[in-house]
Amino acid sequence: MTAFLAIVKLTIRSAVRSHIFRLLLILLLLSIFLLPFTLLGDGTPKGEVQIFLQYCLGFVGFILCLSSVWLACSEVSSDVETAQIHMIVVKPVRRAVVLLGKYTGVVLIHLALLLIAAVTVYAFLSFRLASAEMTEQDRMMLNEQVLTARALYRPVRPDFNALAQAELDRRVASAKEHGQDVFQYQDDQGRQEAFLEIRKELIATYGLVSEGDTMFWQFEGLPEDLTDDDVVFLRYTIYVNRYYTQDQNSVRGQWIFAANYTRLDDVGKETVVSDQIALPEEDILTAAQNEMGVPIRNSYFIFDGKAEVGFLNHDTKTSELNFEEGRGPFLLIRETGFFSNYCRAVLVMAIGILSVTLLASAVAACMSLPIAIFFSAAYMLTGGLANYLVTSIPDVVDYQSEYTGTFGYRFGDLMLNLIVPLQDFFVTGHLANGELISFPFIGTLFAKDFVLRMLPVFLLGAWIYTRRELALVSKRG
Amino acid sequence: MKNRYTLFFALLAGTILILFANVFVQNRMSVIVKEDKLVDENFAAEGTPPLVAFSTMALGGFRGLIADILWIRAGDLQQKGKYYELVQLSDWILKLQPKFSAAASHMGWNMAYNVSVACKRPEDRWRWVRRGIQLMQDAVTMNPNDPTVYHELGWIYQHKLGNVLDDAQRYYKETMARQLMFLYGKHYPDWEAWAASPATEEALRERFPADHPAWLAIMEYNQGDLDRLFGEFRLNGGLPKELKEKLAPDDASVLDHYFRRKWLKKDWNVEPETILAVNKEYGELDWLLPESYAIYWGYVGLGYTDGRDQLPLTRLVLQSLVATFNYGRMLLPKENEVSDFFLLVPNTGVIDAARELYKEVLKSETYSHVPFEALYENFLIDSIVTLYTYSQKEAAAKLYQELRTETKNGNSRTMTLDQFVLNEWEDDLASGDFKQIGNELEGLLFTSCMLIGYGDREAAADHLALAKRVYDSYTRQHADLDRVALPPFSEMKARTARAIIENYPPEIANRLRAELEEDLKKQEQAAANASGSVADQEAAGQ
Repeated sequence: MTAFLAIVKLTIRSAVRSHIFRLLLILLLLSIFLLPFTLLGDGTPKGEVQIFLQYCLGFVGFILCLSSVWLACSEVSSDVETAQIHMIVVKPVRRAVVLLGKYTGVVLIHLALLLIAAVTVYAFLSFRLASAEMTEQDRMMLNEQVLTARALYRPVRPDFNALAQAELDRRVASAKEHGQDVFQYQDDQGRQEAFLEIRKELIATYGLVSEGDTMFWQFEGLPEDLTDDDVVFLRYTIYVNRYYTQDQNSVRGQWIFAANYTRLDDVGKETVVSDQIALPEEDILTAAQNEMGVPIRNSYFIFDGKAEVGFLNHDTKTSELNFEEGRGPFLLIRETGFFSNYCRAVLVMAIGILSVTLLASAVAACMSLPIAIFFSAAYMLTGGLANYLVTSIPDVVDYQSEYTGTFGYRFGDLMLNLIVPLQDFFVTGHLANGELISFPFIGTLFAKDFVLRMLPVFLLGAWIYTRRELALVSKRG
Repeated sequence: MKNRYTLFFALLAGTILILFANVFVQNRMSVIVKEDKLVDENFAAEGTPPLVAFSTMALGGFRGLIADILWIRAGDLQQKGKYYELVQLSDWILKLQPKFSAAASHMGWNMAYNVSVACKRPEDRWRWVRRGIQLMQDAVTMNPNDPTVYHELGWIYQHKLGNVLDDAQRYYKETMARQLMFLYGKHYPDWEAWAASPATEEALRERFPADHPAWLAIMEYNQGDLDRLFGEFRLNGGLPKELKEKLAPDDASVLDHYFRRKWLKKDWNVEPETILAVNKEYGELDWLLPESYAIYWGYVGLGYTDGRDQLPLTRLVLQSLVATFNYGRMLLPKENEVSDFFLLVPNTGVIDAARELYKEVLKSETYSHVPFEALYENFLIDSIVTLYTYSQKEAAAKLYQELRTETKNGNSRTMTLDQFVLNEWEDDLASGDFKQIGNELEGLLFTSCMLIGYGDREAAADHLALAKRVYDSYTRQHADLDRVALPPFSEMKARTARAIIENYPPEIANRLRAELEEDLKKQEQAAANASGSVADQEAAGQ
């Protein structure tokens, strides 16, 4: 233990002496104290706070990640390259302890910096909020939409496989009933092709609402302990046709909310009454993220943890309105306060630093300094691209029925399973949008990225480090 | 060995020759760079902005890559309807790629047009339009030789702010005028005095040396901190009272103009010298209005065309001049105080400039493919009607003569000026239904009453006379149709006046009430009689 602590201490001391570390430290200070004054928001108090949180904390996280990669690589591999490692390994200390000590030293210094930076950013934000002049409406919007932590509830996704199967069965039955030829459905391949075609069609038309039609979304797992004073928000974005078309405009529609409540009947028995409450028709801007408070009592709206929201298309100018999946409608319900969410965001960044340092230490245990840095940087970049590949493919094609789409999706998915995307640890977007960073999310992130993916890499690195012929490296140097 | 030396000297001689030849090529290149304005004069004179210089030097070729990533992020966020990062991302992209003027134009246009209309509140919309304009102003600073950037900036003023296509257009005009009025200090500033004031801090210090009483007063006020003084000036819209009292009136005026021109340059990127030049070229403009700014940028941009991209800028200036002629003067209920009750009336002072520009364009071969002749004829016809309606019958007659002699179908116009104007109105009304005609007439009456409210009696009388003639003409044509009969003219007039009196500020209402007292009384009397007779009939019926 003494040896371990001594290595930790030495690593911290050596880190502070590093020029690159000092440069990164200066960048960190600039991002805390200078960046807020150069940022340009959209002019609203809400936008100013959002951009402040997004960029200040984002830069802090990014610089600390860079710094931890640099220091971990430098501390582990330069000892080997300069032969200083011999001074340590001749002592009664195991190489794994050396590596762990260096890792801990790098992590500790960065966690301390993260803590200082996070406290400073929070204090700075509090000062700005206290001194800012804003209207009551702006302050309310800020408190309700940014300085909060709202859980985001997505509508239940239809089971497209079951729907496609049902539609296929219906078509076959209908063809048989009318005495039509059903040869295309007779073999497995024919049925599979027809099934995929129907499924693709269902996915493509999901979220489209024609003029005069109503679409409903069901929500489940909602909290049942809400009081009527709690505000449930509905967030949605409507598009005219697809989101990338130029047809965006103002459209006319009407929101409908299902209301359920119990009532005593004539014989004194409780019965559930289902009703619908429709808001007046309104003009709605498309391609803009809209948000409104659900205007009915929570006790009526959320029943048995479920709720239902509908939209009636009254627009006569456009062919179809589109609710793109992944862009709403969502329900947002406050779970906790902003401070708690802020601490969670910092915790996620800390997990990021732990993970990135783990990777860099493991790589540096087997490679020289430049290659270790290059490898770590390439790893992080590939993680970012894989994430983009996986998230963008479903937007473009139904990846399960297109060969190229399937290949791209599967490849990106494989990489995502092997590689930790760095952006997983940047949750400042959630924080800036007042979205809850939940403990299950943090726990999953820790288990998936740190324990299951980074720790094995580190253990492998440590194993190689213990087996590595260090004298040869020193001789070459 | 000998061969090796020969080869060495041959290579050396060749290198020297090439380097020597390079001198001539370099000289020629320098001349081309200068002649074609390939290097920005402003950058050469003032140096590249620090952030641009830093990003260019520090990031090297990577800045393009970073700009691409930011561009993709901006597009992605916009598709999701999240706009709060857009200003920052656009600013960074511009700083990373300052010479990519097409990207800057797109971003400015995107904010002013696409993002603004995604907001419901007019103040939010204005914020985005202003952000778009500011980005374009930065793009102009970084690409002073690129005419397309001037056109894009001018277009936002002319089309987005000046035109009536946006629901919030009146709010835009009012807010822009309000901000500019605060900056100018009064509606029509003395541009010559502004232009004569020091343009830089060095020039101000030369004007007020260390022992000058004005400088001593500034020293006493805040230790000569001009930046802090400028901050206070912007906040108050003028010099602090405490300082002003200590300054001689002339010195206070110089300092006032110095700060105002600095403010104008900083916020709107506009120079008073150029405003003077624009006024001289096109006539006195109302600089509270967006069209004036469109003309400004068109005028400046035309100076950099050298035959390139001239048509869009010429068209911008021409369209803005026509708009200025029709609505280029802002009437305010109270002098030097902008309110949402402003009225836009023609600025007839630009008519000659617009005509001259039309004629120039018609003569030029550059624009032979554009049907400017028909546009010119329409412009003349509209101008004649407007001038006639606004008490400038002499000018209208002159233009009418020009219409008859200088346009294709001019010879066929044999009517007198009076007949011609009435005929134009009747043509407009002939195709309209009862409701449209009622609206047109109400429009004329409204303008007439408003002009009384703003104190322009002569123009008001002309509008009223024209409204009466249109009314008479319509009732003559439809005398046999009771269902499309208009109410009596005096009643229409009194009703319009009453609506204005009830809804407009006291400054306008009082003037109007004083002027139309008789008519209003008569209308009240008639209304009382009508309700009395109805009551009598009802009583008789019972």
